[in-house]
Amino acid sequence: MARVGALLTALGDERRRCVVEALADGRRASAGELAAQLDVTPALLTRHLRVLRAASVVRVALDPDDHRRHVYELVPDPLLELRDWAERVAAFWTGQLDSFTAYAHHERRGERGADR
Amino acid sequence: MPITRGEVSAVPIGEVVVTTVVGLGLDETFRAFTEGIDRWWRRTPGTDLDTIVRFEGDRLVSVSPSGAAVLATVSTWDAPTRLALQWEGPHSQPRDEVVVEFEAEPDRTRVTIRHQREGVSPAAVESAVLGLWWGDVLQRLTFAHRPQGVTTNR
Repeated sequence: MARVGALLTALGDERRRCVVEALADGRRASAGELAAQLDVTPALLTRHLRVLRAASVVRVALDPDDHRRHVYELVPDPLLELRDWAERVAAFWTGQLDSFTAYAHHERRGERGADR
Repeated sequence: MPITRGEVSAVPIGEVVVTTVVGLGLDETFRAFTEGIDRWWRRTPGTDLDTIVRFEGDRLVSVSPSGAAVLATVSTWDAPTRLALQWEGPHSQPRDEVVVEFEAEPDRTRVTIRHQREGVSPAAVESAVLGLWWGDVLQRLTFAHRPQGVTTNR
C-alpha cells in the first residue's frame, strides 16, 4: 500500500474531496462540468484533478455516449483497499481489547476477593 | 460499575481507533496491559500454543520454541498513561504506529488503541471531519461499484 500516502495527501484537501464526492455514485463528469459544479476556475480544477490522478483516485475515460469527450471517473480500488485494511485492523484490535477487558475484569474480582 | 467491552469508536481515514473501559485504576490498568500481556494477548490462528508474549527492553516479542518474533518496538513508554509502538505485528505495514492511551475516569480506566497508517497526519487531514465524510463516500462507492446482481445494505 505504498500509494496510501499519496491517497491520503490527495484527500487532505477539501476541494479534492468535493471532486471525489461528486463522482462517488459512479457518475462521470468532464473537467468543465466539475468546475461549474464546484464553482472553481478550470485552471484550479485541473490542478486538483492532476493530484487526484497521480494518487490513482480518479482516471480519465472516453465518455461512452460521446467518444469525443473526456470524462473523469472515480477509481474505487484504492479507497476500498484502504477500507478493507481498516476493517481487518479494527477486527484485530477489537479482539485484543475484548480479551484485555476480560482479563482486567478477572483481575478486579481477584483484588476484591483478596480484600475480603 | 459496568465494564464496557471493546468497541470500535471511530474509523477516521487511515486510522483505526478502538476503545474499552475497565474497572481498574489507572496504574493497575497499565500494569495489567503491559506486565500481564502474556495472560490476555489473543494469539493469531496458526501461532504455537506455548508462545509467550512479553515486553523485553524496548521490544514487544512473541517467543516460541521455534524462535522469537518482534511484534513491536516501543518508541514511547509513558507509564501509566501512554505507550507508542512501531507496529510490526499482524496487519502491519512499514512505519505503522500503534498508540495506546490510558485515561483515568471515576472508578475505572479508559483504554484507547490508535493504529495509524503510514503517511497519516490526523491534524493535516482533519481526521474527525474526514472520518464522517469517508464513511459516507465509501458507502456510496461500495453501492455504486457492487458486483452485478449482488445486493448489499452496506
